[in-house]
Amino acid sequence: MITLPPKSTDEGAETRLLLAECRGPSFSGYNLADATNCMQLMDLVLWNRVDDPKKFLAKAPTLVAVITAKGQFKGFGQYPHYDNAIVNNIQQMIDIANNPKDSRATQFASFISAAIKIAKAPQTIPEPSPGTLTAWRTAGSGSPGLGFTFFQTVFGTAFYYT
Amino acid sequence: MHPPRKSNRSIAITTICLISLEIAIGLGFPQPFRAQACQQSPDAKMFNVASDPDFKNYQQVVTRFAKKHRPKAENNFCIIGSSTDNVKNAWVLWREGSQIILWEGGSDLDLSRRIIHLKSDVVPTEGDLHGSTYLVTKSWVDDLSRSCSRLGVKVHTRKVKGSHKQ
Repeated sequence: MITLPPKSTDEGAETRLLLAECRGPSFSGYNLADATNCMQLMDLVLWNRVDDPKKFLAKAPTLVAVITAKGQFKGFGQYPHYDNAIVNNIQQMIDIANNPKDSRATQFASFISAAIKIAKAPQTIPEPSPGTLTAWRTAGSGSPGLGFTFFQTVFGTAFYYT
Repeated sequence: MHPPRKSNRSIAITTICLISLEIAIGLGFPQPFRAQACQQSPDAKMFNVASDPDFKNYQQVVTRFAKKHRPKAENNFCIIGSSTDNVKNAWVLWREGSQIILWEGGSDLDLSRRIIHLKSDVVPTEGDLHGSTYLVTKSWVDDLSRSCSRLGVKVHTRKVKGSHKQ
């Protein structure tokens, strides 16, 4: 039975954000390795922002302050209250994962477990970019702004460093 | 509280990204779409959703979406495929809903992980983005709209019969 970490914890906040932002098993071309890579890079971006919060409009060097920073992560500006559509989508993923009669259960369970594991990990992955990885965008939706340099695209998400 | 993480940070190197103002007009399939992207950002190649196995059900998908969200009126959609590094998706421009919806295949647009609300998620310039994961510039929206008008497929949905009784 898969359950998410409590909403009030950093792990809970990050798990929900990763599930909302990473391309999951609902979509074409899904594979766990790419999704995991994508979420690990997102994890790194978040914690790099914790190191330099003001640059990304966060009011404090905390994960929740980074996630709730104005205009940064869609639907999470008022976390722990977050967008209803995201709540529903995540609940749908959990329901599928916990339904042994659903042929997609294993795939969704693996995806959610990977998000939880990454959010709970005491370390980020090592910095892979030539600078500091600090942003992501849906591939093909333009850059995150001035001063960002494209690093790589992973499974439909483009990552940028500063 | 999350445990402190090992500091494996490099010194930040800020590289000013030159803003490309190239406009994606007059392009055929497939062509790169460079809507206000950084010089080094990947080109998105447009493709026709009607001929792609993962997206050819576009009519069914947007019609179901329209019936669910705005059944009492006509709706107009423009859909254009976009491929980056061999990962395909499509942008669904919903005129009456003032939204641009990312569609990554599948049958349910409500599962989208990116819905751009044109009334709240569009900023004038790249200088207004500040690292946002979802805000877009007006020129990006304009470029996408132009490309979709020229190259995308269009779907018109009628008012659902009897919907006025709801």
